[in-house]
Amino acid sequence: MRPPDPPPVAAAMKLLVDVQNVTVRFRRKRNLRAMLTGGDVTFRAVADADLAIYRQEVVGLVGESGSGKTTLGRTILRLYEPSEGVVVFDGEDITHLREHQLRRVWRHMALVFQDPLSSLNPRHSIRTTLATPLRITGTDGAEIEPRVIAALRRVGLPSDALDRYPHELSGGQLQRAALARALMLSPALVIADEAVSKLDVSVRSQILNLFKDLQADLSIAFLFITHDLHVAAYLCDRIAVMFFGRVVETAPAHELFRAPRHPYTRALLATIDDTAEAPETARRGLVDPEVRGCIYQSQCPRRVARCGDAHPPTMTVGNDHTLACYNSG
Amino acid sequence: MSAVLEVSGLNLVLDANARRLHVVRDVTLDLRQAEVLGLIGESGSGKTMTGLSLLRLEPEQSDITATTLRLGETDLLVASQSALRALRGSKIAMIFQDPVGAFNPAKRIGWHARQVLRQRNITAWRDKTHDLLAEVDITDTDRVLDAYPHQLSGGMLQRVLIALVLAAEPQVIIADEPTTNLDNIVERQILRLFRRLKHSHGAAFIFITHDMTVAAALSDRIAVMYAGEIVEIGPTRDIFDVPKHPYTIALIRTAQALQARAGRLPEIAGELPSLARHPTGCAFASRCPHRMAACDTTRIAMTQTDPQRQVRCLLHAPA
Repeated sequence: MRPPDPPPVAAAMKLLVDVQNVTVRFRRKRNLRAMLTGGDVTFRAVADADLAIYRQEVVGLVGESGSGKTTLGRTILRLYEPSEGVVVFDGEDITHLREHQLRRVWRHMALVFQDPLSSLNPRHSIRTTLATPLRITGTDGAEIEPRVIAALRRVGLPSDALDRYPHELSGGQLQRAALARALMLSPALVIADEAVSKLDVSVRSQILNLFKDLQADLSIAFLFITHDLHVAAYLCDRIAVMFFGRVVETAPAHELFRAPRHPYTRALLATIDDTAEAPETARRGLVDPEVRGCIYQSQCPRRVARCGDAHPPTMTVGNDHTLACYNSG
Repeated sequence: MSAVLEVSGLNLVLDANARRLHVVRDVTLDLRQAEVLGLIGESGSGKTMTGLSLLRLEPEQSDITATTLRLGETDLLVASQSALRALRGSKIAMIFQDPVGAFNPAKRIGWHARQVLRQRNITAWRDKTHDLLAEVDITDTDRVLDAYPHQLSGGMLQRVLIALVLAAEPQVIIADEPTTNLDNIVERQILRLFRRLKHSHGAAFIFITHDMTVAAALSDRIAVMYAGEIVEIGPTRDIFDVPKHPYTIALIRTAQALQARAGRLPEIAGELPSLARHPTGCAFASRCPHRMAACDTTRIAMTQTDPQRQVRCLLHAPA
């Protein structure tokens, strides 16, 4: 399998992240029966996934809870080590780097979490929170304060927020602060994991607009992990769809929403159209993550005999459009 | 049609570490038979506390007052604890956001079904359960009944919970964000299920949600809450066609802009006011594009704008 041909625009851009055939396995909790019967004691959260992110590109990773999108995101950050496959970041194979080697790589990556309150240290003022990444990377002391103030301004926080503590800020202000921290070291990649899904409706549009502004201003690539298709459609250039650990389809956002190919993508997109009744998911069987053949076969209305043999390989079906399906029609 | 649930002037004040939080303010609403009322609001708007108050399950450290709080013939304000216990589940029931918390993790689903049906003196519980689960589109009944809660997915558990709640045939069901934790596809299936049950069971629903589109898909009427108050109430179609309160207008505009993938989303500036410092006048004034001097000084009452609709805003108040 090879990465998809880059689109004409992206061709000029450099590949920043290249995930090739990555599988991530976790050890299950101690399971007596599995140990005695010699059964599998691992759980496969991500299976044979490919994902490319170009510099300055905004990629959406969508799927239901448990589909492995958070695991894949954290594997790119090398918070998890893949069991199989390769993760390349900015031309360097980081698949099996040790922690002391990763520190150098992590300077160029940042993560924004769903819940800003628990991701910020409650005993650090916003000033300390924003200054810490600079301090530990050896920034000159005189430079720190002006850069902290500039970061604060960039995310639209008032300057009196500097001496506040997380509990004194509202949800929207907290997410702004978390975003400011993520941007402190001018990373090449920011992974935002459900970064707007906990925010209230009236605050969410402020933060979405902020993300849009930052995308336009900065030369950062974003990976947005979200289950909200409206958010993905609004923010992203390209979208990858995951189902039970598999990346089943990737395409430019406008193309995916106009002409989804994978039966699961079709079912998923049917849910955002309020007028459409009964998407194609008439079946509601249980999904066996270790099943032989296509991961979606038990749900799929377009199943054919071949689907039970092996999971379909990822094929390039159009300009920057990849698909893992035998019978997409 | 007569109201199965009548609420007027409902107030709930929480005692939280010497701070008094007025979380529900002067809530008035009627619920008619076989009606779905969508209760919309952001976190902290008081929608869940309103729901809990209707079951008299408000927190212990709190004061509840109301002019009317009546379920059918029963005055919920003066009813004894034992009378309330008898009502809960059989006459008025609540479905929570997290179905896992509603089940005993150490007991199989069948045990839960038996508990519910025993109260209705149904002995052939397995047959009855089969029918109940079929209604929520669960066909492999035996496997489900033998499963422990953790062995079922969130969507399956929510279905089971809905089936068990319906088993008692309550007149009023309060569903608090029942689809928020579920995936898009499962959410759609559950919403469709609610739509069907509304017709087949004749129960009245209060559907609590923060999601305008979910409320629109299901509700006959909508009540929008902000900072503990209902700021607008009326038929769903009318409110979506011509929203009147500036907050409702902003909510609908935001949702529509995101769906249309418009260039820049309309923002509602500012943040929700603190519950401890509720302003004298309109709670939304600090974020409102139509703010007038009187908004900050006058206590704003509900205005009946037409027979079916009320709005809490000076723009629509009689001169």
